[in-house]
Amino acid sequence: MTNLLQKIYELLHLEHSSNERVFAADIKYIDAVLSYLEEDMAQKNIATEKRANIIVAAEEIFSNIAQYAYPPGSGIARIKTQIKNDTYIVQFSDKGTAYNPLDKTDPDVTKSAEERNIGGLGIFLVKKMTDNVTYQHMDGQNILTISINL
Amino acid sequence: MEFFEKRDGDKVTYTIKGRIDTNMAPVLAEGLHLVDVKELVFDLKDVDYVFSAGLRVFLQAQKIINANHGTMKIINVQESVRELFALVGFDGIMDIE
Repeated sequence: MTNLLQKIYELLHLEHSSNERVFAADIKYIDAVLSYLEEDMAQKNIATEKRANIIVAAEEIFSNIAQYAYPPGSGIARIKTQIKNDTYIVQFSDKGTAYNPLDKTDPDVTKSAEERNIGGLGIFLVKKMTDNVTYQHMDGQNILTISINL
Repeated sequence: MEFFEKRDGDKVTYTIKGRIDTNMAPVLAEGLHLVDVKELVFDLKDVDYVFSAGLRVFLQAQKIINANHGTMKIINVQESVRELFALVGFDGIMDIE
């Protein structure tokens, strides 16, 4: 019985456990951020093709925080991951300038090369690569959460 | 990321190795010499990831080549990178093999 209870507790704990890591909001840490997520997803046995989607989305999100959230050379980005209800969730938070990237209009991907703008592809990719993206501004923090269904 | 340039008159091939991320995309953009190039080839055999900053470099290159009245071809594209190009509609404006 004690063993069973222990098992249940372990399972409950797993269900609610999350990993969190803090990085300096500097683009030179992009490889460290992506390696961290790759290891985390490998540990959680997430399918390889789904991992690639998270990596592409995460590169964009962390780059944005590193380049635009704070004055150069300052600030942090917090990255929290968890598995909940068969989804893998990655949450990015920063205390920089309030900015909701989801407000941006999607680019028209059917236009010719000449008509197309060089920018605006990033957040569009984030939306396309994930199953859900949400933005909140809470307690002075930008919180961008992406998830993929497992 | 590193890349190699092979030039033969107005034909240029860039062979890229590694990830084209936010750090490396500007390096690639700065390293491309497309003045008067009529036939441009990117070989992506050893590229496993192209991120949005990298996509911008290819779009910019396509614009320059179109203005030069030349052709641009992207060859040996890995499946995951091909999917990414398709997602942003590059398969409609670029010759991707």
